[in-house]
Amino acid sequence: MFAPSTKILIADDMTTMRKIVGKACKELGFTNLLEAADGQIAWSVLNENPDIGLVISDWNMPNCSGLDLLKRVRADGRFKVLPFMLVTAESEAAQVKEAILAGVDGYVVKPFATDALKTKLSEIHKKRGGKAA
Amino acid sequence: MKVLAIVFSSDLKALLSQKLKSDAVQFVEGKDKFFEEVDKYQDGEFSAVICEMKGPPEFAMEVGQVMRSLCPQTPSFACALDKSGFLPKDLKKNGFTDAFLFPIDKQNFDEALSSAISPEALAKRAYKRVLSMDLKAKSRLGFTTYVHLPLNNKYLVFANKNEEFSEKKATKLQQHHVGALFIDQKDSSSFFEYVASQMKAADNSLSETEREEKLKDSVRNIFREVFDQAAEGTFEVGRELMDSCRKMVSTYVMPTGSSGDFHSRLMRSVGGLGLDYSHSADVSTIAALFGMAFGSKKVEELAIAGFFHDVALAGFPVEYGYDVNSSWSEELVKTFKDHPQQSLNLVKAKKMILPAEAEKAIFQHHEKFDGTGFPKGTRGERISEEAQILSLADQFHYLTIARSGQKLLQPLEALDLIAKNGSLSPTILNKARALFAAKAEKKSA
Repeated sequence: MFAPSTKILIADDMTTMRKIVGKACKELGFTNLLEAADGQIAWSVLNENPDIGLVISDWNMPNCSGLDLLKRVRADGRFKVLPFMLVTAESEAAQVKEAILAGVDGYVVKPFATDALKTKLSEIHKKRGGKAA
Repeated sequence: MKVLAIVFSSDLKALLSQKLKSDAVQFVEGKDKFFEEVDKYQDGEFSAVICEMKGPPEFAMEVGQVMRSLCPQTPSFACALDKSGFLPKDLKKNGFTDAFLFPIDKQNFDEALSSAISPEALAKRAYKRVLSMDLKAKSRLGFTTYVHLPLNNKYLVFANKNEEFSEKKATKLQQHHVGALFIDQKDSSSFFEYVASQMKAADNSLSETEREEKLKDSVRNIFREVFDQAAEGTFEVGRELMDSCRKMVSTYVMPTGSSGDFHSRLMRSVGGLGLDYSHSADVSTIAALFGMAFGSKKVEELAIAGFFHDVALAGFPVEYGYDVNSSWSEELVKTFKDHPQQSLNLVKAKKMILPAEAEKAIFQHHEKFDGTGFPKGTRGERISEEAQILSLADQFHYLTIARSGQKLLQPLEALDLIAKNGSLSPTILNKARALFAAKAEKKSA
């Protein structure tokens, strides 16, 4: 699993969902959490905090969607291997395929329980060779 | 455990206050209050979460997602008092256990909430109404009976399965004028077996009036089940309904004597009233009687077709009559001409597999021998014999019952009128005429 000190950026336009993802992360032992209300803000936060070790982003957000944010992240040399998880409302095959092609590490479908988030984060960590922390 | 209710209107609050005791519900009024409190909610803290939908659905979707994430084991219900923006599929996709639109879904909501409040009620029970007079004192029932308390919509056990239905209980029903009890829908088969055995034991002492009342009541029950949108149309339900139909035919439709006095039973339908459930019950009986009198091998199929031939016309204005009239609007004509297919669709939606002959009879019962009928304009012998007998029974019943402003026709007069509209083959008409003419001659002699 990611180290508890991993800095996590949570991007979601819904305050309650940010709270919930944050609460789930805290339950998993993470304490260093940052929040962004859309993809545009998330990109700014990332640039200000290049030591962020994981992004958990909603798909549907105003200004810059989660997918657009992912594409921007992967296009920037600094964040090419930054673990990135998308939170989607629907698990439609076409959408998932697009996200995978864009370089997403994993996704979780809303609504989800803390356990599902934990499993996904663990999978992403393994996928990244357990060195992301 | 309390129910958490996120409300925006006094209407839903009032409705829930009526249903739940004040200490059994925690109201959260408005969005801001919900956002303020949301991270305190724990799974298992509430027996259910209710969210009222008002305005754009995004807030309700958010509540659905949030509550599913925070309290995955807690059932959550979205309730809308206005259909605009009510998207039940999307609401369920976003985490709600179910979504309800008031007032049409009130009963479903009540059931869902009752199940959530008392988990033992999760196994939903569908009740079937039965007549108290069917239950004989000192007999052993193969099913549990319940009384319905309409004020709080509860069913209480009246007599337990396999216990003797005591004299005391029978008297109690009479004293309190309780005309109907309820049984578990699943026990329908046992109920019909019980009624049949009681009739047999009583040496066919059931009067024709009692038999007709019981048949009408059974048809009403079947119709209610066919029209019950909330009840799932599964093959199991369909099989149970068909089983009930067969039992209804054998218990109430078929004559109890070995030969059966077709004529006297047919004559009972002359002068009857109304075209509601009694039309289906009567046409079923008349079709079966004609079938038996004509030597048909498909009597049960005819009776079943009689039950359902006009089910899609429930609510069709009776005063419009039996056949298409030039004064009807285009819409009315279309509804009427579609009813054979629509009746079959309704039955099929409940996954009831009708015997092929019954299905064909329903579909063709407005076809005419001369090819001028509907829905297909099928002519001659391509119209099945069962369809023709059903058509005869349907028309015969319509013409011989009391209708405002119409002369009450005697059977032979009705048959003359039917002969003029070209709907039936000469063979069928002659058989029917012979049935009544012989009796008329006997009488005059």
